[in-house]
Amino acid sequence: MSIAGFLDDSIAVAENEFRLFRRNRSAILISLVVLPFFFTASLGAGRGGAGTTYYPTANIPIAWVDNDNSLASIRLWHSLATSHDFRNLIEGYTEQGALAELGTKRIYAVIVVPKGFQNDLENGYQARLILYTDDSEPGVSDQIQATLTTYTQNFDPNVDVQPYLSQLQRQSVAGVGIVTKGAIFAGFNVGLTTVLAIVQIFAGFYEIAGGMSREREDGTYARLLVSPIPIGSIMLGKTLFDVLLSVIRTFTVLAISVYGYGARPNTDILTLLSLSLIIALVTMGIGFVVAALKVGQRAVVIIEFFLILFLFAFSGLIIDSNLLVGASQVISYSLPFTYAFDALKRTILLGRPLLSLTFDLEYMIGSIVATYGLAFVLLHFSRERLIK
Amino acid sequence: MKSFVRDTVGITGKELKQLRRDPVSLILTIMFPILLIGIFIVIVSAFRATTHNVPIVVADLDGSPASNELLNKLTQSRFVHVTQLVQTEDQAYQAVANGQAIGAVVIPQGFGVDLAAGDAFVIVSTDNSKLTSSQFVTEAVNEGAQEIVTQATQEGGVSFGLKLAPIEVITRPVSGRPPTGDPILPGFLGMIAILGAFDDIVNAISRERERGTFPRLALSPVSLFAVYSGKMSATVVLTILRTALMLLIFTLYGLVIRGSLILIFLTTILIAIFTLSLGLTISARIRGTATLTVLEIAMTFPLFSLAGTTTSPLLLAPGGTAIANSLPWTYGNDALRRLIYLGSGFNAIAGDLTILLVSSLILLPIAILLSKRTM
Amino acid sequence: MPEHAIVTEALTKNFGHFTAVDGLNVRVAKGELFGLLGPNGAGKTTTVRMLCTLIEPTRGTANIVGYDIREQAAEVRRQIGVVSEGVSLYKDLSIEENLKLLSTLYEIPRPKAEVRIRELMDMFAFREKATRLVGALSSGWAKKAMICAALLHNPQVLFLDEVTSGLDPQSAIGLQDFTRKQCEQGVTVIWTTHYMGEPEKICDRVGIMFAGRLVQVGTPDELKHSVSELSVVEVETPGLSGGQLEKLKSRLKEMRQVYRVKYADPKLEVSCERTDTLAEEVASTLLEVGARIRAINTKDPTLEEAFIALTGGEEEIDRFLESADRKE
Repeated sequence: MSIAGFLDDSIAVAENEFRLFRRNRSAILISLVVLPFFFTASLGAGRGGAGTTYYPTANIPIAWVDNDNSLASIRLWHSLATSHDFRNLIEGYTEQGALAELGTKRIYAVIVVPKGFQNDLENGYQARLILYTDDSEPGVSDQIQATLTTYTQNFDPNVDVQPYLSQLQRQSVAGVGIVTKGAIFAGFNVGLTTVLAIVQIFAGFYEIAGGMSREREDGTYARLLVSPIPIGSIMLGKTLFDVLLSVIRTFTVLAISVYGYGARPNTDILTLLSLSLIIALVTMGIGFVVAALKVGQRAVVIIEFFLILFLFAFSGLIIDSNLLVGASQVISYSLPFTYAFDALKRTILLGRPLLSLTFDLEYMIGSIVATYGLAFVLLHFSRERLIK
Repeated sequence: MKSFVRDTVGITGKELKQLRRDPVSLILTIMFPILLIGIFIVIVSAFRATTHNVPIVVADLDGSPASNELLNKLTQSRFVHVTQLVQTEDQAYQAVANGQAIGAVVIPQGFGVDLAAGDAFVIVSTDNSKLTSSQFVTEAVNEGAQEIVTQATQEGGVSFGLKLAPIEVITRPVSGRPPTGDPILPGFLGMIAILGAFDDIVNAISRERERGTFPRLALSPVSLFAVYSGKMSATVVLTILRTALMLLIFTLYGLVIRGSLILIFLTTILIAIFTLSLGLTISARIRGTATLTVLEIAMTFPLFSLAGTTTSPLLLAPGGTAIANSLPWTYGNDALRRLIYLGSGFNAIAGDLTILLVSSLILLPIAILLSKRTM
Repeated sequence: MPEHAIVTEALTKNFGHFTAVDGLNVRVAKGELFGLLGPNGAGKTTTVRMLCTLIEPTRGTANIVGYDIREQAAEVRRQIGVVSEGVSLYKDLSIEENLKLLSTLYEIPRPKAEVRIRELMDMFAFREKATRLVGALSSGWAKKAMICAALLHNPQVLFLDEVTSGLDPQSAIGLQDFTRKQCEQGVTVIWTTHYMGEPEKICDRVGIMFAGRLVQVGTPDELKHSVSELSVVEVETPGLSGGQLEKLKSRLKEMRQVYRVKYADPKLEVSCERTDTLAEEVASTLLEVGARIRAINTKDPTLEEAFIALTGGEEEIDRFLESADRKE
C-alpha cells in the first residue's frame, strides 16, 4: 500500500469519527464542555482566581482567651484582629468554655495568652502562646499555626503597630534570618498545570479506548477489519481526530482560566498547546493498548479512573517525585506523565522554553512511539479476540 | 404492605445477585478503597521519610568557620543533598533556573561576623514549581542555623547576642493525636460511599434501561415504589459492606476509630442515599451506561477538594467555600471526620445528618417522577 | 482467473480444546450459489469468518479467487463482500454516509462511488431513506443496508451469513431472488442458514455442516436422494397424547432406525428407515397404543429430513445443540 493510500484511509477514518461525534450530543458536551469547564471551575472555586488574594484563615472563627490582660497581650490581640488573616477572633470565652466548644464547629481554634506573657517578654524570656485546634478539619490546624507564627515572629511588645513581615520574605530562627527568593505562584496557576493535563488524560483515554470498545461491541470494528484498510490507518485516523479535540479542549481550559480566573501562564500558547498534545498522545497510545485488551466501555472508564488516581500519587501532582521513596520513586520516574507534568510546571510557572527541556521531551516522545508501537502489535495480534 | 415488603426484598435480592456477577462493579467496590489508602500511604511515607535528599547547590561567599559549619550541617542534613558547591551567587541561582537543583543556598560575605552580632542571614532560592520539595530546603537551613547557634552557645560559652523568636506558639490539637494527615481518611470513606452509590445507579437504572428489563419490571404487578425501594435497599446493603471494608482497612492502617460504629454506618448510608437520589435524577436525562459512568467519575475528582475530603472547606477560596457549604456531601464528610477522628456523639453530627436526610427526601420524589416519565 | 472462486483444503479452526471447524474441504465454482446448512453451533459462521479473513485458521488453507487467505489477506478483502452478525454499519451515520466511508476504504474513485451508491439505492428502493440513521431503521431495512455495503465495491464473492433471520417472509423472498440474480451476473455467493427450506429453493449446491464437519455436499435433489433409505410416513391422527407418542417411538425404535417423530395435532410425521411395509407397521403400532387413524400416506424426504438423517437423527441433533449451548 502506498503512503498516499495509507493517509487517505486515515483521513477517511478521521472524517468518520468527526461525523459520529457530531451526532452524539452527550459526547460533545462531556468532551468539550463538561470536562474542561468542570475541572477548571473546580480549581478556581478551590484556589480562587490567579489575580485574587484570599486569606485562608480570615473567616475561621477563633476564640481569643487572654489570661494575662496586659498591654503586650492587648497589642498582640490588636495586631491580629486588624490583620487580613484573623478577622473572626472572638473574645469573651473562658479557657474551659472555649475548649468545650472546640470540635462543635462553633469555633475551630482557641488562642490562649497565658498569665505572665508580658513579664516573660520584658525579662527577655521567650513568651508562649497556646493554640488549641480542631485538627479534624484537614489542613486547618497547620494553616492557623503557620499564619499565627508570622505575626509572632517579630512581635515587639513596646509598640502599638507591629511590623508585619510576610512569612515568605524573611524568617528568623535563632537569630539567623532567611531571605527567600524564587517566584511565588498563585494557587490557581499551580493547579492549572494539573487541570490541563488531567482533562486531556481523562477525555483522550475515554475517546480512544472507549471508542474502540464501542466499535467492537457494535460490530463496526469488524466492518473495518474486513475492508482493505490496515490497522495503522485506523489508529492514525482516530488519533488525528482526537488531536483536534485535544486542541479544542486546551483552548477551552485556557480561555476559562485566563478570562474567568485571571491566570497568566508564563509561557506562550504554542508551548502550552504542544505540551497538551504530547500528553494527549501518550494517553491515546495507552488507550489503544487498553483497547487491544478487549474491555467493555464501563471497564474503560473505571480503568481510566484508577489510572488518574495512580498518576496523582506517582507523577508529581501531589508530591514531588524526588520525595518518593524506594519503589514509588522508580515507578514515578518511569512514567512519561511525570515528565509531562514537570514540563508543564516549568513552562507555565517558571517560563522555561519548551525546547530547553530536552530530556523531558525525549522521554515523552519516546513514550509515544513505544505505546503506539505496542498498541499496533497488540491490535494486530488481537484481531480475532476483538471480534464480537 | 406485606406485598410491598416482599416485592422490595425480591428486587433487592436481584440487584445483589447482579452485582455479584458484574466484575467491573466488584473491582470498583474492592479496588477503590485499597487504591485510595495505597495512595495515601505512598504520600504519607514520602513525607515521613527519614531522609529527603532534595538536591541543592551552595555558594559560600564568606569562607569563615561559621559558614563552613553551616555548610557542614547542610551536607549532613536529612532534608537536602548538596550536589554542588559554586563560586558565585549567580551560579547558584542559575543552577535552580536550569533545573540542576531544586534549591540554592547563598551564604553571603560577612556571615560569620554578622552571626556574632546577631544579625546574620542566608539567602535561599527555590524552584517553587516543586511545591513540596522547596519547603524542605528552608527547613534544612533553619535546622542547620539552629544547630550552629546552639553548638556555639553550649561549647564556646559564646553569647552571640542573639535573641530567640519572642513568642513560641505551642499547638495542642483537640484530638490529642499527633499530626499525621489522618483527618483525610474519613473523607475517603465518604468518597467510597459516594462513588459506590453512583455506580449502583448505573447498574440499577441505566443498565436496566439499555437491556430492556426496566419495562419488564414496570409491566409486572410490582409497584414502581417497590422497585425503587428495592434498589435503594440494595445500595444500603452495599454501603454497609463498603463501609465495613474501609473501617477494616483503617484499623489495619492504625487509625483509631473513636466514634460510634452505628453512627458511622448511618452517616455513610445517608450519603449513599442522597447520592443515589441525585444519580436517579441525572439518569433520567443521561441514559447511556458508559456516559453516566464517565460523569460519575468526572464528578468525583472535584469532590475531593470541594466536599471537604482532602481540604477543609474553611480553607477554600470564598467561592469554593460557598460551593462546599451547599453540597450535602460536605456535611456527610464532616460528620464522618467528627465521628472517627474526634469521637463526637450524635448531638454533634445531628445537623449534618439532617441536611443529608432532608436533601434526599426532597430529591428522591423528583427523581422517581422524572425516571417514571422517561422510562 | 482460477476455475473455482473458493477452494478450501483441510480448513480447521480450534478454540482451545474445542474444534469449531474440522478439516473442511470444499470447492465452489464461480457464479455458484453455495448453501451452508447446519444447526446453531455447527461451524458455519466460523467458516465464513475464516474465509473473509476475520479470523485465522488453525490449520489448512483456503483461496478466494486465487488469493490465499493467510498470505494475501488484503487482496482477499478487496474481492469479498460480507453480511454477517458482528460486522455492522455505524448506527449513528446514515446509509449514505456509511456507503461513502466504505467507498473510500475500498478506494473507489469518488465519481464512480457516487454512481454506484445511487445504483444501489435504486436497487433497494433506499432513496427516501438515504439520510436516515442506520440505527433508526427497522431490522429489514438495516439488513438491506448491510447488503448494499457488501455490494458497493462489486465483489466477486459474497458471504451472506444467516441473512434472512429476523426478516419477514416477503423480504426474505425478495432477498433470495436478488441473490440469485447476483449469481447470474457471475458473483459467487456463500449462503449460510439454519432454515432448512431455504437452500432447497435457491442454492445450486448445499453443504451440510454438523459439529464442525462438512457431512455431505450436493445439489438439494442429490442430498435428498442420498438418503434413499429414508422414507417419511404422514398420518392424520388427532388427539395423540404424550404417553402414546412415547410408546410409539419406543416401539418403532425396536423395529428399525427412526430419525425423527414429529407430531402437531392432528398430523404425525415419522422419518425412518425405508421398508415396503413401513406404512403398515406405523399404522399397527399406532393402533396398539390406542390412537385413531384418519389417513396415512408415504412421501419422499425433504431436505430437512435428509439433513436429519445425515446428521444422525433428531436425538443426535438435540445432543449436539445441548453441548453447543453449554459451550456458549
